[in-house]
Amino acid sequence: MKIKKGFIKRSVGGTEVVVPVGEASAHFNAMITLNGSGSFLWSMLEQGASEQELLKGMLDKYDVGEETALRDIHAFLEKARSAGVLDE
Amino acid sequence: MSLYNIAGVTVSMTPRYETLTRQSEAYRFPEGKTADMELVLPDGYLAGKQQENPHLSMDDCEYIWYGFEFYRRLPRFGGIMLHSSCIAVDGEAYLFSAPSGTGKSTHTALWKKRFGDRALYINDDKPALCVAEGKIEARGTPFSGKTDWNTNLSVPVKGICVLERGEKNRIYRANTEEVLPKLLNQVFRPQNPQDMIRTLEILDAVLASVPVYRLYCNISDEAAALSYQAMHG
Repeated sequence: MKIKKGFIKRSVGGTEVVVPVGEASAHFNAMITLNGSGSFLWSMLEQGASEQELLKGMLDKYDVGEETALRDIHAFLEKARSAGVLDE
Repeated sequence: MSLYNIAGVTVSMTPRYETLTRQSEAYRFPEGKTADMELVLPDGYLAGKQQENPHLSMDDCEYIWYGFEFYRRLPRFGGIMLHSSCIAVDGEAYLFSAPSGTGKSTHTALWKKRFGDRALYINDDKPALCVAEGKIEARGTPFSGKTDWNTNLSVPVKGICVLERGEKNRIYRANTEEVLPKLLNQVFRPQNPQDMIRTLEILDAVLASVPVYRLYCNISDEAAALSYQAMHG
């Protein structure tokens, strides 16, 4: 899975936001705000990652159990899919 | 080409039609300086826009698309455009932001009614928000939407308010995460990645030093009393 091209992620007012630029801005109107782990998952998916790799990344980076990590990953993927920003 | 000083940027442009010519008069600058920004649209650009939008005249198109071009490049000079009605009272600027038709201008008109000569419009539709030596200022431009309510002034910003219609008047200091999507939706977002990054950096600077509020309001005079009290203190 990989995030489509054409997005910029920045911290604005203490919140991570993602906005489309260039050609992507013609197709995507919305912007997305990311919480802590969402920002991390976004960065991983910018390079491309499988769900397994995302899980490993989360468990390495955060002091959470597998169940919590998977829940966060699924919630994030759901958000990314409904925004149409994910290439699978 | 004539020279103008718009929101702190030296602009050279040649308005051809009435509205832009008239509204930019107050921003004229004496000759002799080098322009920071050459505001020129390609031949045929405006004609193309007019064809796509037959309800608009060439006069409208020039005013609208020169405005967009100015705001598109403004981040390179430390400013962004927030779609909002910006009014200054006693030398402090307040911005009320919302999608078109929500009631921003209706609300600031209540402020004008309440404060009379103490109040003036920096820009009723598209004020520039600029970072200058670490301070955030609201600046007038000739591009003020359907009216010519704009003043060639730079005023420190006291507060930004995200406005929504409500049955009862209510205002509270909002946290950034809550209002960020709403504000970002009303900020001019350039397509060029570098300009977009600058836009986000400027917005970040604004949010670091200006309090943001959420206002639910009706059209009573009380709404203005309430919002002023909360934002001015």
